[in-house]
Amino acid sequence: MRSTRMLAVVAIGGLLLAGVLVDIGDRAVPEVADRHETALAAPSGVVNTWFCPGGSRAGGMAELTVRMVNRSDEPRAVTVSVLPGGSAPQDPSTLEMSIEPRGRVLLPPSDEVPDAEWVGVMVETTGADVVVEQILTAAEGVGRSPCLTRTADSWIVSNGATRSAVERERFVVMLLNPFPDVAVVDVELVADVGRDSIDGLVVPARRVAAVDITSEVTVASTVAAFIDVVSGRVAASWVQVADGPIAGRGVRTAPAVPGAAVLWHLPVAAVGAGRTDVVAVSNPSATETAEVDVEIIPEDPQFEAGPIEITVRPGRTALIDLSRQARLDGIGHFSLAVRSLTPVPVAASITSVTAAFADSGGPADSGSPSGTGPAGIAAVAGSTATIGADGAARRWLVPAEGRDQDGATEPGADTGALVIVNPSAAGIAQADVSVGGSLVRSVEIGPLRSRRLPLSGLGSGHFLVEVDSSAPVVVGREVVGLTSRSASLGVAADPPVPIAGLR
Amino acid sequence: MLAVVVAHEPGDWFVETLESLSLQDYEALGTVVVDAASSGIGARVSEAMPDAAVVDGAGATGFSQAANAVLDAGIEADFLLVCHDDVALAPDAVSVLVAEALRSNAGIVGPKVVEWDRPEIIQHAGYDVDRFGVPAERVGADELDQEQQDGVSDVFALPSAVLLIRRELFVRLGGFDGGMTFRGEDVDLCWRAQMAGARVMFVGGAVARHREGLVSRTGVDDTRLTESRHALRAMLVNHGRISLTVFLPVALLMAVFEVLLAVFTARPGRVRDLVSAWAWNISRLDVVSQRRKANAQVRRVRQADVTALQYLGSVRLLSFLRRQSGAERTGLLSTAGRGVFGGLRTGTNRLAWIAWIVALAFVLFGSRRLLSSGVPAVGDFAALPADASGLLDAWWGGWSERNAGAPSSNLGILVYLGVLGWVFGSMALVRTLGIVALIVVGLAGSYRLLSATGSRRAQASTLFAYLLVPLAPASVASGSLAGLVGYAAAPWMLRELLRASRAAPFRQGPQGLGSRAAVYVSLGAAAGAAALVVPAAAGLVVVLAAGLVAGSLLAGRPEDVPRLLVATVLAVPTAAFLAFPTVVDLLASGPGWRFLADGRDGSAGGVAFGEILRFAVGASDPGWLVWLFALPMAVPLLLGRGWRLEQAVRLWMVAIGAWAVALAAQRGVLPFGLPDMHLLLAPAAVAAAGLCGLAVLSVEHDLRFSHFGWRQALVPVTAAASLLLAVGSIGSLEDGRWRLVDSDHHSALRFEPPVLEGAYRVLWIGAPEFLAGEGHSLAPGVAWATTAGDSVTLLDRAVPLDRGRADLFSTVIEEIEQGRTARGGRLLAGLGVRYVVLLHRLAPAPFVSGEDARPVPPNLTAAMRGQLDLELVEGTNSAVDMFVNTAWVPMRALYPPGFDEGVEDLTDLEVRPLTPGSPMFSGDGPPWSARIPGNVEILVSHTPRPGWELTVDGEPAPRREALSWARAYQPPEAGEVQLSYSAPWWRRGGQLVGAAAPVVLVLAWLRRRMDRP
Repeated sequence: MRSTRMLAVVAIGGLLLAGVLVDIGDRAVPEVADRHETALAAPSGVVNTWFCPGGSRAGGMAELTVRMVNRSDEPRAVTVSVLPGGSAPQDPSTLEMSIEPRGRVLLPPSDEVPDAEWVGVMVETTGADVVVEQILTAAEGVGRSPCLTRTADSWIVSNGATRSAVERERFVVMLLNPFPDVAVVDVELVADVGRDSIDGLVVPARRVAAVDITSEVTVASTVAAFIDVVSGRVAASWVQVADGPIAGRGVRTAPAVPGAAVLWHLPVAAVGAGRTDVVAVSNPSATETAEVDVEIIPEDPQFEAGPIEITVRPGRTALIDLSRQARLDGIGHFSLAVRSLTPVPVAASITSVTAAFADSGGPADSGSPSGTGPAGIAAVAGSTATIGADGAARRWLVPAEGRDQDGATEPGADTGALVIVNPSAAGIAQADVSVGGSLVRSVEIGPLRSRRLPLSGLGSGHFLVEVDSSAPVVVGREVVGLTSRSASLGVAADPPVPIAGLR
Repeated sequence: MLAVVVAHEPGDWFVETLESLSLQDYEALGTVVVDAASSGIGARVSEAMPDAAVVDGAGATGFSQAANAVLDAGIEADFLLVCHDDVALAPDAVSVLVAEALRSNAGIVGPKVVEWDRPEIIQHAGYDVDRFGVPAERVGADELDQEQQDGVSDVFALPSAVLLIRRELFVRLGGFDGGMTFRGEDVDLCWRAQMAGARVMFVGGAVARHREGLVSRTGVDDTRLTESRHALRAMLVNHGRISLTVFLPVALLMAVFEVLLAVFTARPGRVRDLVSAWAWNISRLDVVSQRRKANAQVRRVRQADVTALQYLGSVRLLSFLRRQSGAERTGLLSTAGRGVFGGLRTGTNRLAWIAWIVALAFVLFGSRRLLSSGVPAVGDFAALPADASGLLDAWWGGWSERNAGAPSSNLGILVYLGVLGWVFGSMALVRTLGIVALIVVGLAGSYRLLSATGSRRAQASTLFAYLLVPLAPASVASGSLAGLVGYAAAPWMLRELLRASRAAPFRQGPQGLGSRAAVYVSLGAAAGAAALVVPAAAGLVVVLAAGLVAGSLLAGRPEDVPRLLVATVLAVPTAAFLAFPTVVDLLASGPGWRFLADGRDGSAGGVAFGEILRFAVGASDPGWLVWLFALPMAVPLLLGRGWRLEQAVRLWMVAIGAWAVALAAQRGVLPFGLPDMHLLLAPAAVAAAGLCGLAVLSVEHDLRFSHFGWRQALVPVTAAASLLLAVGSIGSLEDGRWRLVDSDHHSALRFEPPVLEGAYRVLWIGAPEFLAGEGHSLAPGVAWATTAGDSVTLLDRAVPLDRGRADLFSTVIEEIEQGRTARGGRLLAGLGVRYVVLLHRLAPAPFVSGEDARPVPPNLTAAMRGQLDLELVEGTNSAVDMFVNTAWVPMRALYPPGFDEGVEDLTDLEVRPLTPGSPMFSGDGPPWSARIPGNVEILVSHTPRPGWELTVDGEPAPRREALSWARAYQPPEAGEVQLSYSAPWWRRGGQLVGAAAPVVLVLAWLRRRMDRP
């Protein structure tokens, strides 16, 4: 009896103790696969939807044109929903159309909603091989950027300006609500002249709304917009028009950044005479300060430049004028990695203003593989904006165009370039560059290196560049037209992976 | 004084009868022997009692008429001692009876009647009689004479075996009712004596032995017949007009019930006896009338005063119930001869009554707002269809809307709920009562758990402990039907397993094959009954058995192990029979865990081991006081000896086994999901309660063997802890609904009526515990389920025969979640889904706070919000995200021919969306009927299975596959169409067998009980 009792007490006590001990350890909580929500345009479904937050109607601030390019050898059906904006009542319009194999379609959507002051577009395509861009045309120039493939409930626009009197700047944020329910948006504006906010902005269902920051924050040389979608989801982009002695002349447009990340890559950057590139790093956190390194990724492996260290206070945007960085003298074209060390997620983008003159050794002659070209060739003035890439992919599609549509490109002229960045710190990426299904170039890119391929060497006229890489890379482009410049990231044709997770 | 002995061909014992009379110490005792059979017993009488006279009772039919012969004999005596020919009185019996009759001025007195051959066993000590004329013994079967009946008391009736009656009274009453041959004449006589104002008294000091072998002497067993017949006669004759008006219909109803019961339990003899009793009396209404007139002459006491002396209820019913409860060994209406409620005066019985009254009051008071306001449809507490016929139709229809539709036998419980709904007239009331009844059933099981110990204190302690274990309140608060079913079933299962183990003290009673089989059947019945409601609950038997096996081994009783294993295995047939259709469906759909796991995937949860031990697994935290259970649970382990210690070890291992399973589920170490935590903890709850019962036994029996020390101190500490527990539990009564929320999601969501808009489905996504229907695992801690129409009912918990097209829902949800489509609404439209509801909490805010939320993963929420055709309903409660599918098309609709051209796969709908057709067949069904125009097709978004048919003017219409998974019917012309589903005959047969199984088992059980002596 006594032994039974002792045995039982010990066994029961031991089992209970074992339960306690077992429960002390961490639980095998399965990781919920957190799908990477990239800021890139990345069509990946059977049916893909492109959101072009848009621009104005014809004769407005910057008229919207949508360009749809079919990469495949088969016709692609697309459904274009033209979503109106502005005060005039106007119903959305829907177009069904087909794009010829390897063809392209330019659509001025404002014709479909003639009463609308602002116009946005939603394009639904079958397959992942159609690329949709929005082109904004104004008297000051032309801006291009791929449309978005996602909506979000928060957006960041890092760097705009509203010096309307001197620089004739106008800064508009476009919000597109493709959903059947209304969206309510709060916009917080942080400028060098102070802060302002727009609360409870209603974006009706299947409409666009243009938020003219110029009228909200006047005479700001820099203004960032933090957009919080209180209800619903929207797609957002921004349009900056300028024509002034400092801001230069041109139209730049880019998608807003849908979320913060700890590592961004900016493939297209340069320093040189007449060119001013400014990196904007925004910290959306309300409480935490971000310590950020802006790392230089030169094309030339011999060039060494240490990172630019900055501190971004909560809710603020830090601007880095690369043209004033002495460490970058003579670097020419390069790429950037923006890394938050804290790590507080940040958003990064870059704007570039090119004056209408050239200087030997400057970026204007970068069409030459050596980086230097013949002097005296006039550079094309313009301004561009590019958001950072928080993801990398193995396949990319890049709409491009050469200036020699008439077959008259001058040797050494700046015709724009395709930039491929290998964000990996360890692996080498082998990238095949094809146009029209034909391999044009095959390049090898070392760890944390970039390669810049002049578009003139890839094709002529309007063409679609395909990049197929052995490892995830980031691809950007800089297009130099006859009268304007534009820059943007390519379109990831493969599911992107977070750069921060690459080794 | 004259002794009247009615003799009818007596045997050898007759001499002893006569000798006992001659040996009486009462001197003035004469004897008359009535020879009822004219068998010439004069010689035998003369030989034994020369002074005795013999009266020829020839022509007398039965005892009554024979005894009445003395009425005509002109006998002059003050008292008559009427007795059978098979009684032997103690020498002082007559003198004691006479003395008491004179002292108490009684009209009739009777002795304590003991058995002839075993005088230590009391046979009769007077009768209690109910208002239907049915007598009840005041002593139990085989009650040992320990002088407990030696007093004097008023009784309603005395047995005619031997009784002393004043001659004047006997004459005034006209003697016995001559129409009553045997049995019942004594009750009638005494009833009339009571009416005449005479006292009827039992005198325990006088003793008589009685053979009582009438059946063996006559060779005819007409006991039931004569008892029924004469009880009815006594009732008809002796009741007043008003009371007869009240009790006669009741008696008739009871007779009908008894006849029905006898019919269903295949007792034709009983039917015959009952019918014959009524026919006999109806055919003699003239005699009844005459006797009623005669009674009016002798009545001296108000009818109400006589009725007040009778038992309020039905002796027959009570006798039946007592047999079922196993209490037949005690006096029927009384204990120790203390009257109907006299049993309350004994400590143990009083404790039992008080315990039950307190427990029921606790449950009813704690459920008061549930009973008054109803139970919201939270968690598993799915609503029932509004009317009983709808429920029965759905059950019989054999089709479930789960998983886009699949054949299903539906839960067998639906039949009984439907019948109850029909009886009560309100399905909501049935649902509420059902939920509260589960608690009471569990308490009853806990009370019976330790009945084999014979200790009412232990039983009461177990009852209270089970009441205070916070599992039931937690289950209610969490809307866990599985938890409540486990709470109700676990005590019964544990009891049967303990009986099957035949470990002390459960080895009492017969141990033959039949008894063991009965245990297996009982165990299977408990499991099957639980499975009728929640199939996974049957698995508790395995958990309990495993714990008992481990406990038996630890207690050094390995011989119990095979018995437990055999019982577990042999319980399966009964359980399968009881839950017949569900078992078939489970087997047909492939043995798997998914129906048992209810959408859980085995991923880790957030409940800590300490919370598991405290049963703090639901929406409410019972607080730290639950730790105090450790004290009484430890007592039998520390103090117990012998079988009490062994049983304590077994119960501890049961509890630890259940806790271990729950911990394993919460740690996520199993590769499969387990059922609701509340269900898993039911064995631990009942084990804890049983240990508290054993604590009482240990203190009562074992503490005295311990040296003075800490063990003695343990008792007051444990008592104080128990008291604290009880006081602490009062807090759970505060809201009157066991902390169940006031409102459910349906009150916060607005669905369009399908009848107006067209039939649709609702896709629910959330934690498995939040889903009303059985879920499918989607991600760790997230499941989905679909329902049809604007309400969720118990029908949505049916076990379907197959998975239907659940794969399509999974595919679409995955497409959306992975961001591969922005037109998820179009895909869902192909499945008839109009609403998508993401449940973040068990119930709407503010009834469930954000702290108790288990939100749907943000990825999925964002993906849903990113769909272009799912419109988020703004202003909905923060506990849910509700989306309306703007691309929805009705599940059943009219379309032009070829409406789905080009749709080779459901995902093709993304680029070829359906245009909304004209809704039809939107009401309750199947079947549905409608009139259609010509040149149309009818889309029916159900999983295509044999049995579905669409007829046009009675002719079957051709059909084709539509949307790659559904059906489109192609009526050749305009006309009246009907869409119907007809289950195959074997399935219908299975449903009938399943529905009949519980009835068959109950009747078999009743028959077994009725066969008891």
